[in-house]
Amino acid sequence: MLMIKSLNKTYGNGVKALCNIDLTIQKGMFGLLGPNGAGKSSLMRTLASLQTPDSGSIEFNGVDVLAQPQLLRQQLGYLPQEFGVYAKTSALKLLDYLAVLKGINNKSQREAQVIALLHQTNLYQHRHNDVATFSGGMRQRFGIAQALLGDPKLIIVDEPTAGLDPLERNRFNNLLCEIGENVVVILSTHIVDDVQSLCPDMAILAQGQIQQQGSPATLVANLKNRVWLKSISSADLPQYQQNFNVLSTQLFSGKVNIHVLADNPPDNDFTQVNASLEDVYFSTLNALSIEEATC
Amino acid sequence: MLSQLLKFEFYYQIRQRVFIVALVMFALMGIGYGAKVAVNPTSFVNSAYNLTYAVANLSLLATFFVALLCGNAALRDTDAKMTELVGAAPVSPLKLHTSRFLSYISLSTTIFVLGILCIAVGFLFRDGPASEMGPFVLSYYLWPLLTFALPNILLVSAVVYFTATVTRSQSLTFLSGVLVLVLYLVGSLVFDSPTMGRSAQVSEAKMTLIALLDPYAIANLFHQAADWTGAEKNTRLMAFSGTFMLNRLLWLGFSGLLLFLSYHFSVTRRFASGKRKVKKNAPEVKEKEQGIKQPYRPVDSSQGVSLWLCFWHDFKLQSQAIIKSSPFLSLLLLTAVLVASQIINQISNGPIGPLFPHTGILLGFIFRGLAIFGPLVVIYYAAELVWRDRDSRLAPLIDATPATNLSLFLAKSATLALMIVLLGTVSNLVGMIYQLSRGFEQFDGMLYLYTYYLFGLPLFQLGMLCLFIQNLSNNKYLGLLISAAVVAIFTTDAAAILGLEHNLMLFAGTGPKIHSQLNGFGHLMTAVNWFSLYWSIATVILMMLSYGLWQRGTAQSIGERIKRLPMVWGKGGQQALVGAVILLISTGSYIFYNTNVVNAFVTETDRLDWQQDYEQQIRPFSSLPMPQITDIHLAVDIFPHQRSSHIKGHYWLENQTDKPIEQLLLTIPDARVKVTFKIAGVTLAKANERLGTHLFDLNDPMAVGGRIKVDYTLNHANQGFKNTADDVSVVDNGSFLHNSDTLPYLGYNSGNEISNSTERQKRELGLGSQIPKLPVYNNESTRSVHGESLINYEVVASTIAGQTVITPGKLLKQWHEGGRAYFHYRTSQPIRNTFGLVSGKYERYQDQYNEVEINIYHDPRHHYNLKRIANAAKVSLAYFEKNFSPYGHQQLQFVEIPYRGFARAYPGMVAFSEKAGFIGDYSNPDTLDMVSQITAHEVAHQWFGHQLDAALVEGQNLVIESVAEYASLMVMKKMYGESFIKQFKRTAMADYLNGRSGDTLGEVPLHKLINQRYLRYKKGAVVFLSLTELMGEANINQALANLMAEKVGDRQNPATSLDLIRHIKQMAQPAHYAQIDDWFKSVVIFNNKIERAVVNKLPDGRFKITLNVTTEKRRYSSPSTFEVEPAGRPITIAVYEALPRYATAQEVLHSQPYEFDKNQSTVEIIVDSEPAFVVIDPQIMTIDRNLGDNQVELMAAE
Repeated sequence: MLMIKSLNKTYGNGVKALCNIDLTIQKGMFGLLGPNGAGKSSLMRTLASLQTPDSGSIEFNGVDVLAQPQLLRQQLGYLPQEFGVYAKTSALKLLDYLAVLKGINNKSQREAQVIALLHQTNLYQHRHNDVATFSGGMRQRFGIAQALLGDPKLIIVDEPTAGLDPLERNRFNNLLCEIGENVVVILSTHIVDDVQSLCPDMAILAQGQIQQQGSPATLVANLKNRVWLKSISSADLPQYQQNFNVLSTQLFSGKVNIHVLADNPPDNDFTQVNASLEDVYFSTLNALSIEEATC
Repeated sequence: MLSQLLKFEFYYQIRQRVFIVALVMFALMGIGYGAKVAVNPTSFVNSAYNLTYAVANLSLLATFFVALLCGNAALRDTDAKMTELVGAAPVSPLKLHTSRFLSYISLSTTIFVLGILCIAVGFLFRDGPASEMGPFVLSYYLWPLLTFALPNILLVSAVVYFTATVTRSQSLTFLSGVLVLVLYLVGSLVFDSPTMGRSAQVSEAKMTLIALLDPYAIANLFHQAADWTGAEKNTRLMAFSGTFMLNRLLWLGFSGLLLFLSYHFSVTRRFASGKRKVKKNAPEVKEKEQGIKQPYRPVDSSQGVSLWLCFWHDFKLQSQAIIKSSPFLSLLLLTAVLVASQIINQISNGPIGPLFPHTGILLGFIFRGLAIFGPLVVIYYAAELVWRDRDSRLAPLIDATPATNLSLFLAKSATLALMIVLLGTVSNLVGMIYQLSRGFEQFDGMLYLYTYYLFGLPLFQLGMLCLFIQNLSNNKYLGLLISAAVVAIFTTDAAAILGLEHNLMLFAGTGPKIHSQLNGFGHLMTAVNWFSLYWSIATVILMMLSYGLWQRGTAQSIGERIKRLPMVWGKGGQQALVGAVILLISTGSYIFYNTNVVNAFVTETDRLDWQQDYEQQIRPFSSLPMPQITDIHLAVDIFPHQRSSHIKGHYWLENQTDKPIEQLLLTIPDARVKVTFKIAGVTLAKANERLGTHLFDLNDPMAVGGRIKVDYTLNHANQGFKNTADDVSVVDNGSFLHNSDTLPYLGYNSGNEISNSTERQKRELGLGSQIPKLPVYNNESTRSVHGESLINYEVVASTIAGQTVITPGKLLKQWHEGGRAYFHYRTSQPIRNTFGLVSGKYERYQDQYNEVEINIYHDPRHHYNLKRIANAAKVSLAYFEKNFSPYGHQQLQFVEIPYRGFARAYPGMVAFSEKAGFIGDYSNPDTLDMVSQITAHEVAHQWFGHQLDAALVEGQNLVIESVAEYASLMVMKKMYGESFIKQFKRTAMADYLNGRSGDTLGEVPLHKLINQRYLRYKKGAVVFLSLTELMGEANINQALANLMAEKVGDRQNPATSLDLIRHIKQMAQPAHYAQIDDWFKSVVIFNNKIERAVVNKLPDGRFKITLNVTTEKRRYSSPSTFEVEPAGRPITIAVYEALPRYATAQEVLHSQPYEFDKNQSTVEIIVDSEPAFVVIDPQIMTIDRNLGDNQVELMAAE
């Protein structure tokens, strides 16, 4: 169990990246949704012990992460949003090297796991090639493989499926799901569908603060019967946006489909639709733009 | 558009930290240079030459920041992943490149110009008389800036820009810039360029080649200004013509070509998105295992990471990446080339000719070669190692693993250590291969290990310092600059300038590591060991701090990292740190106790203070009449392993003045020595322990002719170790006591005065004691030039068993007592008061000349030249006895001594440094047999110096040293014929011209020379050899014999140079007097040159040669002013059929003296067969400022 309490981080240039974050994350997959610059990566880095917060505490399975990052790192699988590799080093070699650094000291175990992970990420036939020459998707898969080395109890993956084709994305999601049964997996993404389909628990992070937390189902339930759909011409959009709480817009055969949040149908042409997690996400962000940030 | 781009580039660049740091550092360097660096003292500080020199050399150093800045700028887009954005922008690539290149050329230039201006600022801080400064002339700054600095900056920039465009690799880009510098250094060493401080004669053709190819053109300064005198250096700027112009055009053209190629390359590749070509997938092996697909399963790793495994894997990965990389491999190769060229050049071109490649000798060259690359390697690769993870952006993956800082850090340290070991090993291998190739048998493998200890360990320590700096720096390039500055301070003279003299303050400093063939590293190793231990402990602490503060993750400030230190270290680490600090302090204290308590820590200032005190307190007594020593009896006990000696002895003094003597001033040369005096009938008036002086009042004045006995004991002990060069008088093997360095002397010693005139002015010391002027025969000054009395010398010396004591005199008895060896020597007739006493483990080589026993005491391994020495001694004795007078001793002993670089003649004995001939290799008949020449020279001193005394006035050394050199050359002529003499003369001429250009006192004519080596040996040899051609060897010898007949034994009027010239003239034809005066009493230098030579075949089959000849004769009235006058005597022109050097008499087609009454003349010569060469002054009868242009190869024109 991961417990985060009143986590704060302000960068040197005055940007408040994290603002009184309180989260308790249980075993299983936890989705972290948020727009660009919401503080997702800052939170992830802090959890991965690559960055220290200004204040607050992080506890994982009874270990004070900030005081003993080494203990956390032993149980950590981390895939950062951005990473590079050494030039002129093959996937096999680099993975083996990282496995040693992760503490898999037994050589045959290490080799077996590395091979298994290469298979799992479909990199086996490329194992002797320079990782530096991999395409974006291949490199991402390599990142996934290294995050699963050892026996991670806390897996932090930041935008893991970015750049993957749908097939690979599915494979990855399945793998994550399988592993997530026994460990804490924090998945940061802005693909709402992934969170919906994978995560029993989630949070929406924006402006450095947790805006919503709960299971996707609960969050969606809050919007039950309050989301309305209408197809309008794009010229009318500004007018609607001014008058109504427009959650999302979608182009559809030359017209614009808009979702509006309201307790009653705004006018007769609106039809009620089932609320989705996406609606929850946008309604949360919309609420923010109205309120002032308090941190 | 272009101007806007430029503006942006400027704006961008000047905010870069690298720019600011480089600017500040270069400015400081300029100020430091101006304020502190010793400039050529023959001319003004502000002279054109000194400024050109400064600008040219600073342009070398500028390579670093130019490479950094340009690399930084050229790769900016790639680094920031902007390539595609910038590439897609609607800017013409030409404009983009131009603006970018122009901007950083101008930025580099800005930094450089500021640095140069700061030299002028630094001059203001110089302490020294204003008269030395000279006027500030702007063009002296601007011209070298334009001709040296700008093209050099352009060259480095172009190389860097080209590399950046082609490779897009940051490390290669920076390296390519440094490579220009490295190639320059290597090239200079390989070609033996004068820029490396070598004085060896370089042929004109080779010099032209060096000057042409030198990318920084610095060799041109040496080329053009080789013979500029001080006054010329004040105002003369480099002429933009000849080789210099060609050089600049060549390298400008090269820079232009590189720029064009980079532009061309970048345009053709513009939209290739800057990604390197994707390597083809490795050939797919159909492996069976592919089928065995195992599902992913977690592997328990909770037992924790293994420090060793992490270290080992990280080390393997890091070191393979670096060691297999082409830059490092090229570096190894370059090191090998550099070391090889050092060895080959130095071992064959030493001051005494080629040497046998003893490992100890090679070690010195290996260190010199490594000293260039070693620091560069650690500075650069420390940065690479620390920043590799972050540069490749693998850092977040590694930082999130549980691998400990310690393992990651140790892997980097070990990689650096491995690189250092490889550098050392490659150099050692070069040394061994060289030894094998020479068929050298004494393969001292153990000695090679010292490369790792004496070179490797300090370099590793510096490397750890660099790792530490990089670790704290949050910018790689900033770290590079700081590391470079710090390493430069600790490895160059900069430390001394900053006042860091104690090795406890000089990171990785250990004090001198001098290897002697006889004594090995000897006791000097004690200090080296302790300092090495001290700095190793300091390094361990630094390493603990480094891994404690190891950057983990992003954006951790130093403060945060320091807060985490205790956690990273853990209990054990903290205890280890405390332990290390305690150990450091204890070691430091122990060292301090040795260097500063047991021994005195003497700084340069302390030394000068001592000299000042001595002069101020003792000089007032310099006019006191002193008695002469007539007898010296000594009992000397030498304790080689304790490095101590105990001397009990007495003098008999005699009043040989014409007045009663009332006071005795006795001084011990080394004030650390404990001394007691026992003299009957005296009162100690004044003693100064620090100066070692004792002034006694005689209760009853010493009557004229009266005698007095002085008993004394000297206790010389060495305890512990010192910070700097230690006393090497008593050592394990090869102890060497020189009388005037050991025994008490009478009167004032003006040799203790500060000689540097600037320092004297600073200390307001006025004029120092001057050597009396010529002529001297007036009543007052005669006393001071009286010769010293001869002495009777007797000694009983003891040393450890197994060692032999050698000193002048006849060995009367030799015995063992109490486990020690005793030797009793006594002279059979009075000798001059100069003697040495040597104790060492020797083998003896014996020979005989008539009644004279010749002994050579030598290291058992140094048997190469014993026959040569003995033979030269015999020929010398025969020649000198025949021409001058009987030898007078029954023995002639040669003794090999360690460390020093000289040979010194004592009565009947010669102390011969191990470096001065015992290991010289003269097996090649083409090499000058210098060991025989030195032997002959020292034997000649038995006549000129020991029999014939010269008055202590100007020109003393003409009578002693030049004449001894002449005598030795006549012996060489007897042994090797004319060819030796010719070759020797050429070299001596070049050395003379070279020496005169650097003479700080100003050149004087030979007969007034004071101590200048280039006059007494080099010009002396040239003049005497020419004199031989003019009046014949026999006449000169007769003149010398006459001089001896007149002066030997005349203590009232010892010989002067005027006496010598008088006797020479007596034996010469009056027609030659003017010539003799030109040689001895004037400074006359010719500039003979064949400007043009045309050969025409005549109808009768003969050949007509038309020559345009310059014969300029310069008579110098002061070191910097001369008048040109007619040659005044005929100069020979000779025509040869073959190379003149090897031409036989038949091959000389024509040789005839010509009178020249003007400086430019035309000469026509008709010869019978086809001529090949024409030479003006083939016998080198004039001192010629350039012998290279005296000879022209002829081509027949139809």
